[in-house]
Amino acid sequence: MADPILKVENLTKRFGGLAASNNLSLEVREGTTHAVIGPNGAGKSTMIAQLQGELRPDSGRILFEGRDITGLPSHARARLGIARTFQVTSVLPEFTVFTNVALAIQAGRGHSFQMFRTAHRDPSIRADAERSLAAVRLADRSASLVSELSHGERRQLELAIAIAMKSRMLLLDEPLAGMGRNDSMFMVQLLSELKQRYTILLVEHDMAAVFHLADRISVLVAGEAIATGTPEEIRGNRKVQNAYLGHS
Amino acid sequence: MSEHNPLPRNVRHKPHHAESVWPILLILALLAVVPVVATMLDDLFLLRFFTRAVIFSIAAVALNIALGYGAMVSLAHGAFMGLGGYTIGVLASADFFSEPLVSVPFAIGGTSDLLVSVPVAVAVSAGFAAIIGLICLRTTGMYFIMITLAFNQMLYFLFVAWERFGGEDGLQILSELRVSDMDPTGRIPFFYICVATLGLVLLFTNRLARSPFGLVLRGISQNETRMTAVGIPVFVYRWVAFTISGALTGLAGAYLAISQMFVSPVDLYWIRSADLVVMAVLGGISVAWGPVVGAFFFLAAELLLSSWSIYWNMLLGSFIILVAIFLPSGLALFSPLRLLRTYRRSSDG
Repeated sequence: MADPILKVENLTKRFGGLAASNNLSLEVREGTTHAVIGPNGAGKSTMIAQLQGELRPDSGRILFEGRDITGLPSHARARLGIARTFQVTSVLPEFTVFTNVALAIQAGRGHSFQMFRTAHRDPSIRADAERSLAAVRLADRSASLVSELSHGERRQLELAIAIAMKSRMLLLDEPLAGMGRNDSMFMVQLLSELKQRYTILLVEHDMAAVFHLADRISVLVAGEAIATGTPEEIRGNRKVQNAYLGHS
Repeated sequence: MSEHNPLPRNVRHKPHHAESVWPILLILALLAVVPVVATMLDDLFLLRFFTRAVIFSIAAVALNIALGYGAMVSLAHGAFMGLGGYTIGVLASADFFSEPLVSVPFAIGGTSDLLVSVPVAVAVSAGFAAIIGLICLRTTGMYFIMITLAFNQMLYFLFVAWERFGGEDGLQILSELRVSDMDPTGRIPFFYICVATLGLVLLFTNRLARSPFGLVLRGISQNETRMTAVGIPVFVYRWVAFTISGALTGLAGAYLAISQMFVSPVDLYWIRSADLVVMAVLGGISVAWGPVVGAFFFLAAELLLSSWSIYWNMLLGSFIILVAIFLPSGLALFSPLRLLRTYRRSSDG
């Protein structure tokens, strides 16, 4: 089997006496959608923060496409193709939708120290931005200010930014959080389209969505991955039922 | 992080007005006729006031690269300005007394040639900004304000204590400053040099706002986390902007010293830094030329009110509060319509 695109090896992160990641190991295979679930306090956010570079693990390694990225800062990981979305949407509120996406493309193309040229006139940036916006059904909002978007549309924009970064892997942190039923259904529909083209690591509380989207699922309990497998395997796993699903 | 941004939301960038160059050209055209009017009225003081206002405009516009585009509320820009001025003064006095500035390991003499000393002044300010930027920019928000203030005062006390350069009394420029062989310090030529410089700085900052660099900088000031997530090394961009801003402020400081033929610790006291921030915010930080309006307004108010009452600071302060409440985007974007809208909205709610 091909090497996994993301390999987490024995990650440990302690906050005082609490091990938020406890010898956590995980593999994400290229082209799959891999969901991480777990009860509140299982260490999902801590895991994301370490994958993305906000937190350094106390021990353990993170390999992305075979390369050790454990010590890399966040922006360097982004440049390698790890594109994340946030639990609480994080976009540039005072710019237009287009500029939000175009900035991501610009950042991905190298440094931005050019000070005399007007940005984003480049037709290839425009084309890329429009393609990313079309992929999340936001093309008609291109000229709108982000502050005018609804919550759901901001989520779509975050996805468009992630796609525009030429990402190798999407790291989606609760993409359905705070969404109403219709928005949620629309987002699941979008994600099921994106999963055809991208490797996705998905952290999500909505079990129906997880079992619908994921090819593989890891269950996190007390900072440790207690089980990994296909949705069917996870559903039938006794340990998981005891630790998690049985109680919810 | 955006929540660390110390400026209230409504003072930050408004959705961007097309960065038109027309207001800039209008300002330059108006300034260009000032010497004509001053000559006609035979009023030298008028020209002196306008020279000072143009120089402070350069500084406020330069500060705005950090403040308006980068949301870095710096209280070190008075120091950058003073450092630029001291560089001119120190080089000129070493030239006048024919004393080498440094004699070990090799002798470096002073100079009164502004083609040399002005670029050196810019370089010194840029260097200082770059060095303290490495430290200050590790903090944000209130901490950034305090640490830049601390550096500003360190430099102030250094020059107060440095007897060789006049200490508290300041440093008179005794030699005749020149540009190669010409004398540029005639009031009218010097005024036009200042206006031309202001024009270049304005066109640059106006351009900068929509350049790839400017967009990244403005993006960082809105949401640092987001910019990091798309792969931007936030610190580097802030640092470059802070250094450019410091360098251009140093240029204004050099001009101020040339216009006064004098530089003293007052020129780098922290109040000067605060004045520059007030000028920029008063005028409006969301367009390149906003700080020019603020600088002119501030200096005119200082001049008129201080001749009228010794409590002029209080009057100016009250006015600034009114502007902050009713014209949060600054005087530059004042329009009666906008004011009416703000009023109607607040009375609705």
